[in-house]
Amino acid sequence: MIKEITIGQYYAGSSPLHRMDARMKLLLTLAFMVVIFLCKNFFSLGLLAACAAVLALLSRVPGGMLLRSFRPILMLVVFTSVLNLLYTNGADTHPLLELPVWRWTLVITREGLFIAVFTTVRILCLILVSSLLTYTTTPSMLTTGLERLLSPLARLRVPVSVFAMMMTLALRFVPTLIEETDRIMSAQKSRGSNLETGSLLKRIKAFVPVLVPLFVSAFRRAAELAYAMESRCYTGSGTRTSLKQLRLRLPDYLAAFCLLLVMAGVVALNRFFTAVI
Amino acid sequence: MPSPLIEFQNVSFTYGGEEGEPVPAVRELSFAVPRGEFVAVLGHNGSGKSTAAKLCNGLLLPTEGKVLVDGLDTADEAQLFDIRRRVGIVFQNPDNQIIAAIIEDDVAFGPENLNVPPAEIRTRVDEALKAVGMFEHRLAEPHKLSGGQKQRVAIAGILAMRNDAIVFDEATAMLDPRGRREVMDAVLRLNREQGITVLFITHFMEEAVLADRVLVMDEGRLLLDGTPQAVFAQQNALRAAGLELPIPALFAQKLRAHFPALPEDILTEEDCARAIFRLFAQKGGNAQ
Repeated sequence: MIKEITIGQYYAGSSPLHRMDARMKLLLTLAFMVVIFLCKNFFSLGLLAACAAVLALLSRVPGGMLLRSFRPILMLVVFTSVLNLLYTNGADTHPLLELPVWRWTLVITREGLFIAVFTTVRILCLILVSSLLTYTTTPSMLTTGLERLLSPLARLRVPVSVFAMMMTLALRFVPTLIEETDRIMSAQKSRGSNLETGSLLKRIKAFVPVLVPLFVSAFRRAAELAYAMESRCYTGSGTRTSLKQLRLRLPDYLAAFCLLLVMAGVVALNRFFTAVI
Repeated sequence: MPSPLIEFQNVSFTYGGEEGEPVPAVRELSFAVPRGEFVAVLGHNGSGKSTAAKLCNGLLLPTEGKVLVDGLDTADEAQLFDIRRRVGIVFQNPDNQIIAAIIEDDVAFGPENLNVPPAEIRTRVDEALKAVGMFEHRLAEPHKLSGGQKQRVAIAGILAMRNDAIVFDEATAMLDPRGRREVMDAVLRLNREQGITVLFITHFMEEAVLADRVLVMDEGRLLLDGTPQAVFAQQNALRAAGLELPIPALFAQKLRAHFPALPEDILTEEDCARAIFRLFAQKGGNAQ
C-alpha cells in the first residue's frame, strides 16, 4: 500500500500547462492570485473565475481530482461564508431576512450575502489555480523553478541552492520515512502496544515509542546520506550545473500576455461597475 | 611502472576518543590496487573492512599512515574533489544514498557537482542507466523500485561521474539473492567491459571468488592477500578470521574424501560441476 504514495499531487500529462516553463507557471500563479484580490465586483471576479475554469480545462486534470483539492479547505470556506453572512452590517435598512433566535435576531443583509458569495468564489479560485500548478508540475521541477527564480538572492548571500537541496532531500525522504513509520508501528503493535484506541492523550503517549526509533533512524540515515553526497563531490557551494534546463518558449510568453490582458480587463471592469467589496 | 590507483601505506584508523575508549578499527594496513583490477575484501563483522572503504576517498582520514589515490594524498583537503572524482563509493543501504525523488535526477547529481555542461550530463545519465540496465526506469521514483534496482541506480550515479574506481562497501549485504546477482552481474560487466577498477567489500564468499584478487581482513589487519585460489587454500587461516569456504568448495572437500581425484582448487558452482563431470567421464572411460 505504501508503494502507491506519490509525493505532491502531480498528475502526469502533456497538456499545454504541463509543458510550460516551471518558472513562468510559478510567476503567473502568483500574479493570478494577486489579481484575484484586485477584483472589486462580480463582473471582474466572474472574468477571473472563467479564466480559472478555462485553465482547469486546458490542464486536462480530471474534475474529480480537482474537486478533491477543495476538500481540505471546505470547512474554512463554510466557516468564513457563515461569518460573513451574519456579521456584515448592510448599509440599506431592509435586510433580506430577519430570523428571531431566542434573545437575538439573525439579520442577513444583501451586502452580507454578496460578500459571502464573493469570498467563497475568491477562495475557490485561489485553491484552483494553486492546485493546477502542483497538478501540472513535478515537485522536482517546482524546486528547480523556485531555485532559478530565487537565484538572484544568492548575490545577497542567501544560500538558495542549499535550500533547494534541502527541499529535494525532503521530497525524496518522505516516502522512505513513511515506510519506516509503518514498520516501527507494526513492530510496536506486535509487542502489544495499542496505537489505535483510547483517548487522544493515551494515543499520543503510545506514539512516543514509535517516534523515538524513527528519529534515531532518521539521524543515522542523514549521516550515511552525507557520506554518499560527499562521495559524489557535493560541496554545498553554489556552483553546480543542472540536468534540467528551463527554457521560456512562445507559449510561455503568450500565457504571460494573456494574464496581462486579463489584468487589464479586471481593472476596466472594476472601473465600470460599482464595487461590492 | 604507473602508480597504483589506490594505495594504503601503513594505515591505521581509530574511532572515537571523546568519551570511552578509543576503538582501533584499522591497523597498519598496506596494500595497493592497480588500475583495472577487481579486488574483493573479505572479513567478518568488525574486521575494519567498511572503515577501509571510507578511507579510500577521504570520507575518513587515516590516524596514521597515508592513503594515496592516483598519487594524491587523501589528507590534503585541496585534493579531495579530485580524489572523489576518481574514486566513488556505493554504500550498503540503497535508500540512504539516493538523493533525488526521480531516478535520472539522482544519477545526474554527481555530474552536476562536477559542473559538467547540461547536454553532456544528459548523455552521461543515459549511458550510465543503460550500463546497469535501468534506462527504462529513468523517470521512476526510487521508493517504487526493488533493492537490487535501487542499488543499480546507485552504481549508475557513480558511473555517470566517470570515475576510475568504484568501491563497493557491502553493497549487496541488504539485498535478496536475486538483487545480489543483479548487482554482481553489473559490477563484473563494468570491470570487464569498461575497465573500471573495483574494490568489492563483502562477507559473501561466493562474491569474493569472482574477483581477480582477494584480501582478507581480521581485527583491522590484513591477513591474506592473493588470488581466490591461493586465499581459499588457506582454510585454517580463514577459519581463524571467522570465515568459511564458499559452499561449492566445502561440498567438493566432502566429496574428495570419497573421490580423491577431485582437484583442490574448486571455488565456484561451475568449477565444481565441471570437475565432477570430468571425474565421471574418466570413470566411465576406465570402466570400459
